[in-house]
Amino acid sequence: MTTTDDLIDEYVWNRAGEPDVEVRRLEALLARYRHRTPFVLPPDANDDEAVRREDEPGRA
Amino acid sequence: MSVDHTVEHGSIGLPALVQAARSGDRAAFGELYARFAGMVHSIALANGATADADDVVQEVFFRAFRRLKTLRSCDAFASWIAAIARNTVRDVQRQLHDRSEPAEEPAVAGSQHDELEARAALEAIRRLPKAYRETLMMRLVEGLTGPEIAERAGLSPASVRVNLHRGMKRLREQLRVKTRAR
Repeated sequence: MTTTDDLIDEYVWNRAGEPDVEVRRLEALLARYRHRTPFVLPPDANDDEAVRREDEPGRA
Repeated sequence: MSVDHTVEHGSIGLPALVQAARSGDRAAFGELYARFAGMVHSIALANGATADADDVVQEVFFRAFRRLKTLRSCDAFASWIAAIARNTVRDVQRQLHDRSEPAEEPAVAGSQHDELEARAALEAIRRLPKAYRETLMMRLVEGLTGPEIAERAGLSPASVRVNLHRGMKRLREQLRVKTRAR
């Protein structure tokens, strides 16, 4: 038997089933903090060189 | 330089994608960013970053890019980058503390009431145990589903489901207590 809690859990789990009003409200409020920034590598980024620089004494 | 993540990498399994990125394929690294930036951002938010959360994400992926060849197992990428994220947010907050510079809160759209309510919800999630707060940030802020969270975080679907269920229960209780206290 499907209970109300199961339906709420199903919406929290995968947004299926009956939407839960409180969860929908939280989603709408918190969407403003969502990540939307594309990744930008510095122009001189080179993994091998960067690792070598980090290994130099005095480097963080 | 902006990193492209091409369609051809979209369907590749994680170990193969990590291996391609380790071999210097920048588009593969861009796809790793597309898949994991939301999880890393959630970890930053869950551990106290708000205005500087985007900077934390950039720094995490730059560190990952530089250190990818030190990753022993491609299967461990999710837990590896999560650990980098937790260390990075700690470093960034320590730097801000040392400089006595509180991070500016981002300007947000919407009414002042919504803004206050959103910040109260964010703070309420941060007061939850770590397993709950990171999972709830991924679900409620980044909009990931439970199965997507399990895949990104390298956790079993069952444990994510438990974290979501218990975390939501605790969050509802906290928000109700706060509402009653007004």
